[in-house]
Amino acid sequence: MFTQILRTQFKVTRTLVAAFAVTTFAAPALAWRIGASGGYPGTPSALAVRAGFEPVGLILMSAACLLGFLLVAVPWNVDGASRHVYPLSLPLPWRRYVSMRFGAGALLLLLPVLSLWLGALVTLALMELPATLRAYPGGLAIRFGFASLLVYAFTFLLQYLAGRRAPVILLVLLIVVAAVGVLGAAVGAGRGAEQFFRLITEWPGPLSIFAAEWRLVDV
Amino acid sequence: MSERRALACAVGAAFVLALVAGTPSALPAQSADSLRARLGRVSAARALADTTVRRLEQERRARRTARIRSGGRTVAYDPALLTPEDSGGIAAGLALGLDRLVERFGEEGRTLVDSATWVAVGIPWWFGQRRVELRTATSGAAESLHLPRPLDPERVARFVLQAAGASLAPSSPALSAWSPWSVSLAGEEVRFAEAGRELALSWAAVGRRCSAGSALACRRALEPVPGEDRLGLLFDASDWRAVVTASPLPALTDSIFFSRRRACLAGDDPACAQIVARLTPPDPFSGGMRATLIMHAIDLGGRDALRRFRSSTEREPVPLLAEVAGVSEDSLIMSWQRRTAVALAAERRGAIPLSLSVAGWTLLLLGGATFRRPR
Amino acid sequence: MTDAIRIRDLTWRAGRDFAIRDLSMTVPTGAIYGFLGPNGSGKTTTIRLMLGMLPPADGQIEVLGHSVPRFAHRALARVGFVPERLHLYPMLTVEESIRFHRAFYPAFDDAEAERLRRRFGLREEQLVSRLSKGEAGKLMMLLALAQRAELLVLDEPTDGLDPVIRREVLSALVEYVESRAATVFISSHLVHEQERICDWIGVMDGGRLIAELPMQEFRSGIKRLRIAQAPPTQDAAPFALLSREALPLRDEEWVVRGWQPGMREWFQRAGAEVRDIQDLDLEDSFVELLRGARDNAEETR
Repeated sequence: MFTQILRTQFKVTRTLVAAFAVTTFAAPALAWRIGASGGYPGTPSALAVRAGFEPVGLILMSAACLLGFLLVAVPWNVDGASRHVYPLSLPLPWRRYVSMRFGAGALLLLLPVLSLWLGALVTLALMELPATLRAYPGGLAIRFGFASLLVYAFTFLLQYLAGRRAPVILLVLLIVVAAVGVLGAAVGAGRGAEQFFRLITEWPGPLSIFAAEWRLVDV
Repeated sequence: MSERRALACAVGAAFVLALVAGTPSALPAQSADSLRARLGRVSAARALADTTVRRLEQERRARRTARIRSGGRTVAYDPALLTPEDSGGIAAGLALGLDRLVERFGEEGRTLVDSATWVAVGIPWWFGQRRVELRTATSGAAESLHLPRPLDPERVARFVLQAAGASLAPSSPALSAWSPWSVSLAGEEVRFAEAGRELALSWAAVGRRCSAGSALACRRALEPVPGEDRLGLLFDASDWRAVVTASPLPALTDSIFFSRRRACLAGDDPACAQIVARLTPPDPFSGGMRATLIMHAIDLGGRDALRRFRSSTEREPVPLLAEVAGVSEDSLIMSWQRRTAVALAAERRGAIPLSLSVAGWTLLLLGGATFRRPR
Repeated sequence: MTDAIRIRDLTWRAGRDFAIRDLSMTVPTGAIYGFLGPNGSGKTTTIRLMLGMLPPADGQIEVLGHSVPRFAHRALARVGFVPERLHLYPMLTVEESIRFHRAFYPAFDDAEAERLRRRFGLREEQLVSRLSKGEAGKLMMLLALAQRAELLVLDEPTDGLDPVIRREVLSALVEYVESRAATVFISSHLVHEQERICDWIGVMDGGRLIAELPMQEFRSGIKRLRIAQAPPTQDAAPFALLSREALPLRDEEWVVRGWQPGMREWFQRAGAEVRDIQDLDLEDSFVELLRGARDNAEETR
């Protein structure tokens, strides 16, 4: 059963997964070409290399969010076209079916994660890292995987609980969070806003993964 | 001066200090300018601190102010803007902070905050709420802290420890020029991690070698080095391109110098070698990094650290701090280097708790998703 | 003999406009139950409730002995379902769809699936999204039949199919029922189609089951009568009056349900005379049944 669900989910999302796998594979190399290798000719300084790789973290964070979101939204829309009749008519408890669907999507997340890890390794093999810097290809790939898993799980919950209303709810949530953030930054965070952000971004808050280090190269 | 303007000044001072402390190290290409700017900002911050002392003292004497008394300390405040609960929280935190200082340094600890002026400000905020800010200043240092309500005495106590340390470096002629940055006694490992990062990413070879564990390099990095000796003592040939970019232009330059400079930046090593001798590179290390050595020496020195700090007649920072710490200079420097490395490594730890957190949230979200079937 | 489907006092509501009200229905095991009703009468909703796809507001549903929706998954393991619209994954091929479906049904008969695929002329590599409406209908029927279900629930299975394909699908269904003695619950608004294969009929209208009876009774029990000097009321009549209409010469035309030959005497006792009795075909019977139900509903209001 799970194999078939996985296979079907893969067929639905293979273009998406492939696009993200290519992006994550290329991101470290591109960052190195554009950022880290710029500056001086010859061996770049540790500072320049570290700073040059900085955009990788931002790119990957955004990619993780988008990947997690789309990996739920795309298959859901396929099911939604037939009003979920097929999944609902299958002879297994709903929880089990949902768990298998979740597991299949989570497994597919591994492809861009592995691809990021390989891309980072290839990039690091092609360059000479300053002595005081270290590379964290595994750590970055794991963070990317965790972040996309978290966004995937959140979107999954929203989609399965709210159904067609999910995009509206997501939009409202994003606006609220952005408004609290912008207001907090603009006028000095009030206690409520500050506590709210601390609660969600500090361990064990749900967004603590995004507050962690997202550097491929660091001291 | 009105409350709002006073707040603006204090926040400005804090902002400048935070900017200097928090700005990620710039690329070597920008180092000369940024370091000059940093030095300027530090001087400005000190000047502002002195102004703040005077201003706060005026505020304290103003007619409308009342007093919170705790452990012999007095905090001035406007009773119309601060509730009794707020002042109670400040008094409790102040007492807690002083207790900690006395516990750590004996009566010497109390004197650290004796000379400070304290003002608590309640500022009208959103929807009728008020914001509380606690400000203090001694000669050469100003600190302020925004306190969320209800006031947490623990936060006030930490602020007392930070503020107590702020007066240390400026009070010593040996240290004031060497590290004008404020010192905290609240045990902030994050500042040691920052120092470790600065060493590892340094555009000066000694910094990188210190980061790799060389005691000699660390001593070089920490000792004051006159500008004309820096090139030989702190940098090696691999840094020359960075030195050329970061250093101010020499007084007399000609077209040959400029063409060699261009050639150097384009990758011509001999051209770099020909012009670096004419350059005076700026100090590649920040006062923030050095301030951590003061913090480390006080931590090592224990209860007598402050007494030794006050009684020392040393004119050089490293010997002075070794005396404060009660250890040899080498062991002070090496233990400091290890502490920066450990603090830096600790920042990267936490993969397992992070995994557990993500796993927990994921399971929770999945559990929630199974409750409702689509219709 | 137990019942394949038993529904008691089922209630479900969707907004203000539509509701299933106090629906009770019994489908005997082995029956081919035709579920008739105009579009929007609640047939598909009843099927979705019956298979646990919608949670009822009230009432009990039992399918093959399993309480639904609680144990719907157990019932569904023994039910072959063909929904009114294509529900299969469009990006899969015919062969992949069969493989996907087989994974969920342990009793799935590969040989039967292959036989039906050939019979229906479906190519293995055809994408579901590229199938014509007829081919999609045949594929859904193939899957429902190959899983060796004890109960087939078919929601408008031949709607929109051309007569040739419809005949192919229905003959495969009849063969299946004959060979496996399965129960079939077939929803449709195509009355003639039901007439050919069903032995029980249930009629839905406006969210209510207005009639449920054996096909034979349905076919022969609804009559159009021409009555002279018709009585003003039909209280205590042994039949159900579905409609009455005035004709010239003070005659009236009555459509009645549950007519038996000996019932002429009731009119005689009331001073009336039955001048003519006409058999209605299934479609006319269905229309009259609906009209009668709607008139009654309006009177009650």
